[in-house]
Amino acid sequence: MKAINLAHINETIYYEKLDNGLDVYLYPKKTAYNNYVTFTTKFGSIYNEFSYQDKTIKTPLGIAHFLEHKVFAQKNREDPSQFFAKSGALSNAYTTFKNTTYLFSGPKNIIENTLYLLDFVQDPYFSDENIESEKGIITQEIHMCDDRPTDVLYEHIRSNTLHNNHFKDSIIGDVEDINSINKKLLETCYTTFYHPSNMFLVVAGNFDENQILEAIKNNQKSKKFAKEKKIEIKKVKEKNSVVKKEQIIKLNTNISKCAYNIKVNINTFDIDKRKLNIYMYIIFGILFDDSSLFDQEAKDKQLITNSMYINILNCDTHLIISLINETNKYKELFQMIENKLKNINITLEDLERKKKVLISNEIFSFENIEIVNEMIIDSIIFDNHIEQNIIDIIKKLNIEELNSIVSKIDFDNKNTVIIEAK
Amino acid sequence: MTCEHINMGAYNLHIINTNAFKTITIDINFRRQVVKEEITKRLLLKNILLDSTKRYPNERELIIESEKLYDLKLISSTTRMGNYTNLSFKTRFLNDKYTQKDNTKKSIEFMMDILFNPNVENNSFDEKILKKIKEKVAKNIKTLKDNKVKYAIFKLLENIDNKPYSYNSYGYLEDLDKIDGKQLYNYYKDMLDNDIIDIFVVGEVDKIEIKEILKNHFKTRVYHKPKTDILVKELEIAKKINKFRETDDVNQSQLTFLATLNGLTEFERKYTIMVYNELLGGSSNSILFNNVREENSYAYYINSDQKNYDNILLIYSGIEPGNSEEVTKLIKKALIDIEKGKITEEQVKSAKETIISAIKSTLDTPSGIINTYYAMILVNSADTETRIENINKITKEDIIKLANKIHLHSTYLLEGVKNESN
Repeated sequence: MKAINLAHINETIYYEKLDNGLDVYLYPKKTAYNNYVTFTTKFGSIYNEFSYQDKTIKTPLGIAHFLEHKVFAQKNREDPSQFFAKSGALSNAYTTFKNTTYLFSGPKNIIENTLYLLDFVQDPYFSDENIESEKGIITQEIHMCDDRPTDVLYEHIRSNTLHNNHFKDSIIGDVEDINSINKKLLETCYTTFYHPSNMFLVVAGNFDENQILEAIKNNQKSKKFAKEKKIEIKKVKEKNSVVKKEQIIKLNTNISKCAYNIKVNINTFDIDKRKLNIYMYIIFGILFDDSSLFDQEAKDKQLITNSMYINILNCDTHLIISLINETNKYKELFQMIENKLKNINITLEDLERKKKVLISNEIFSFENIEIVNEMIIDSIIFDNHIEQNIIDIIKKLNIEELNSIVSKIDFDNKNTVIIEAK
Repeated sequence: MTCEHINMGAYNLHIINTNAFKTITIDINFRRQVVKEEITKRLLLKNILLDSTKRYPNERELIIESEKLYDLKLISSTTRMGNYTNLSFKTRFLNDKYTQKDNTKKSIEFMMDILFNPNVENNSFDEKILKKIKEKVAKNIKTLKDNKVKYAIFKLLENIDNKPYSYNSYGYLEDLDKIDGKQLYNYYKDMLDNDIIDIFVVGEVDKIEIKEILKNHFKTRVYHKPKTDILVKELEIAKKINKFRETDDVNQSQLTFLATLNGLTEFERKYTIMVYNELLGGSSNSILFNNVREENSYAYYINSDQKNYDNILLIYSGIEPGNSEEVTKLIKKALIDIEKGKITEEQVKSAKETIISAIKSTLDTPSGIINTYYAMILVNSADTETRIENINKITKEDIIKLANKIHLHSTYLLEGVKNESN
């Protein structure tokens, strides 16, 4: 077991790779009452084309999320939510673009519950009947999202910006996709992506790290898995241009929602991805967040009432940087954004202040085992490792590097999406 | 973890010293009896005090200062607890261990400045700033409709005559025009003088230092304040369920119910109702979830929520349009099944464990700790161990007895009708 010590934060995360390829991360915290345990496969909504037994498989959109629902179906085992409830634990699962995560939280029986989490995810039961009945539930979920104007906005930001990159598609799929899913397709995805070597377990809470690791090892040793195989995902080529320059969607809402999106090719920059993300967060924060002159002016002109929401989506090939707000005066707001981007002036003082904010956020994360757990998941999914010196990385950010990044962004490569009141 | 209660004359100070956090949280609570006409005023006050002060005369300068204090977090919120309305100003900042010296002192002084040194001229809040804040409150009122779940519950409760829970907690558009800077300032003074004030401090702190800073900066003199009974008078049992229905251009229908709680004992109100609610619709292991979603695929979600100090219980569900009658039948059946004792000992045990887990894990966050101690003051709630003991005592018979005191009173359906105009 390897100890990963996080500099300046006084925290340790333990790591071990098991014989079957499963990665285990442990974050023990003696003052915690609750435990938060996640079991993640590196399989999300964007993996629609891959090779399986030398054939190229193309799956319907939304299959990762559908599979997430069906992994809860069990044959020789108690229903997961009932099992966890017996010790007062809550279980849940979610699917993102790049991963599917199963989890439970609860103060009691951490070892027993962790092993059960492994057991139920590693041995689901798919049947034609239980797959059919799930289609109704997921259709309801799709309808619920369709009724949320902000969800509709986010869907269009991606689909109007990306050509081929699978981040363009919705995680949940549409009703037609869902109806074409069958048992065989689910089994193919499950066999390919739920192998231990493509998964990792993160245990956070109040426990003894040696004892729990022993139990996890024994549990995994007692199971048989197919030989580890390299998963080949079809690489997509993504153009730099956006798909649609502007779209106005009429919906049942009172105040329009609007997004100004900039598409940035990651390969433009000769810099570590994590650092690039931090710089982008700082640059767009300084320009548009509640501490910016822009914010003050836009509020004085009564274009907005709340500060801009800045969303940076890392789509592997590109970043989509979205400036989002709710206002009926979106035309004036977009004009202001455009003017601001033509005249960028970031001072050393701004940068130093934002560094304090970032350092503070890192320390704040360790207030809560749930956030630590999620942070570990994100690190593995996006960077494939846990950064030990994040505070030092932040401290070393400098204005020259920042300005060089600003000069390389093509601010004209953008589009707008508007959800307008009917 | 222990809490030290200190009577500071015009307010009560509660210090919870714990090394579980890297931050310090200070939560200043003002409460009084809820009055419909004051709701909008309190919302304006909640927003305007965090906008600017005499020292930091605009929002931007105030935010920049908070970022310099290592991104001190500042949140104000209004909540209603039975007959009380509560306005909380909460700050959370890094412990001095992780910052430059004196961060704690500077942070508390910053907070005091916000509360006691507002941006006021000639006994009036600045009209221009007030206008901006009004826009913000108006926007929140208007966007309530974007969240169909909240909107449907709001419409359900609106139909109940003159009860605190039937008021719109987002405020009233027609009240906004009536309030000017002078009136709002008078209300602010009135709140400082006449609201009951409880201040909570959570973290690794020096008690004497905190007391000293507050003594010097917390300026309020009135010692005697009116108290209110927190419990909202119960509704009479409806002979027939009151039905309300509207149609809207939505994909998913929202079906909601209000049930009255009649003649609960103190023990039932504090403990049994929680277990009952958990069994009925508290989680994905509940009777409603299983009957409506898992067995019949009628809904994506269905939940129940007990409002023990309002003497009501809510049931709400997002369903496929056209299914409201079937779902209504299933809900009625679930309520009757519990009355008749058609529940297993196992279900009761699970529900109890879930409640106990929730009580324990609350103690993992500063806000949860504050809520726990605030409840002791508000409703004379027992300490954590006693509460867990009492939950453990509850039997199936207790739940059946309580079930007979719960009666459906009204229902509101937001029925989806697809308008294909776009």
